[in-house]
Amino acid sequence: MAHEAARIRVWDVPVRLVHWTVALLVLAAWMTREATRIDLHAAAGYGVLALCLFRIAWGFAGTRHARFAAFMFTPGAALAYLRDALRGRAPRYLGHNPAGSWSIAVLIACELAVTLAGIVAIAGMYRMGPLAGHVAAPLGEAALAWHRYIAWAMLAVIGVHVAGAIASSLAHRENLVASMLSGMKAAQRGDSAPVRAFRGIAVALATLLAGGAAAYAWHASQARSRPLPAAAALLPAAWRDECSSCHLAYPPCLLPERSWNALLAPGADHFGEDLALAEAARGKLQRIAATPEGAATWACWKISASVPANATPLRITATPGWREVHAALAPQSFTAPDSAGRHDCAACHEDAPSSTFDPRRIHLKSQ
Amino acid sequence: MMIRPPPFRLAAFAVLAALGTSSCFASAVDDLLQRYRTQGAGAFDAAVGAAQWDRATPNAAGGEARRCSLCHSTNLRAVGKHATTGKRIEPMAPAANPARLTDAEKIEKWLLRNCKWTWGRECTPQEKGNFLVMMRAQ
Repeated sequence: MAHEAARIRVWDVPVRLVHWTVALLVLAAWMTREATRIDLHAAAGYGVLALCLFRIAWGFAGTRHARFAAFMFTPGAALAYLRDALRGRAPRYLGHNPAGSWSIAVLIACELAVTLAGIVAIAGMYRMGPLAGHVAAPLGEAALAWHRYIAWAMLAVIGVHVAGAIASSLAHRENLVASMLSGMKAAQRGDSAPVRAFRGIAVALATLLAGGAAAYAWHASQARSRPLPAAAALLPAAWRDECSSCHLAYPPCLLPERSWNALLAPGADHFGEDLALAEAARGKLQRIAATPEGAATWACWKISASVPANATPLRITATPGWREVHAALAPQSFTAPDSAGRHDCAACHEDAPSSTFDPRRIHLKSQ
Repeated sequence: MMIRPPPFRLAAFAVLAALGTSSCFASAVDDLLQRYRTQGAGAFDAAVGAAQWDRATPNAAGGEARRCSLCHSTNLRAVGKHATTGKRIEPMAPAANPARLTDAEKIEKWLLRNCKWTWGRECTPQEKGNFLVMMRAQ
């Protein structure tokens, strides 16, 4: 019975730290998935990516059960293990069992893929992150779709992983959750001593990655979107002066040229007003509408891509793209005192006069 | 009807422009008043202009009756608010907003657009002149 008390170290400190930190960061990323909290969401993502890279390196430098060499099972072995587990006679493993090994490999792959897709998405859509300015809006939006698919797949794998840990704990009467916290397991016949880790490598890797991730997260939270080649300052004065007499000078890239022509035409009903523009002034405005600045932004691409070729929307808020992006907002977001109406972009978008529509510059008042 | 000789007007304009004072608006308004007189207007009256400012026209669309003060406030030195968009409108009185009444083309453009919206028709030269002398006196 003396052997029952013998405990053996299975999981080293980096394995446990990475495990629980990634778990918390994934939870944090889930809770900050709203676009307005993209700063925190991205910081969590950078952390996950950095820890994944560390974990891969640790898979070669760590102690016995941290090493990939210790859990490189064939898919057949994993399936055989699952079959045995369903019959209630899966063998107990000191380190990772074959199914667990595969779930960890898949999780690491998912984490890499989800964070990389996220980096492409925020670069294309919000011009933020390390790839800002190098990704076009459509690719950014496609990457966001993949980011979501992979995130859901990852949540499913996490569910299997947690269920497996609980089932295995019950089947073998050892608390795997507690082991992942303490690093210890009760030793059984045949369990052998751990392999020593390369401590120097561990410390250097961890410091480098943690420092890099923290520095980058800080940098990302500081930086605004990269200045666009054509932002508010470049919105032509004629456009700004004419439009902003009565309302926000909507960036012309937010509607197709034919819509602007319909709104500027002589005698057109401009929402109940006759603009009665002088010939020269109207010509100037129409030329500006024909070559809108900032058309490369995600907001402009999103809206223009959503307008059917045979439609001539007169309101930006009537476009499918605008509606999709604002669908989740409560109706009171568009009424006083929060805003003067759906047309009042600047009530929430600090950067409305440009065409950036950076989610970090959205200020919802009552939500 | 007094018509100043052109050389004097040019000199006065040059001096005022050089000074860059708010007196510049006098020139733009005076030019317009002159134009309205040639279009048949008589003497302009600030009190009539004030009455025009408050004159309400029923809104065919069913909303609040339209009047100048709907957007520009009854106090011309106060900030106004666009009736549809809610956008802030700077004060109309030159005393509160020196940029007002300095550009004849701009004045004409807005009198045309806003008379049509508020009263459903263009204003007569007489009415426009009454507005201008009333506003200038604020």
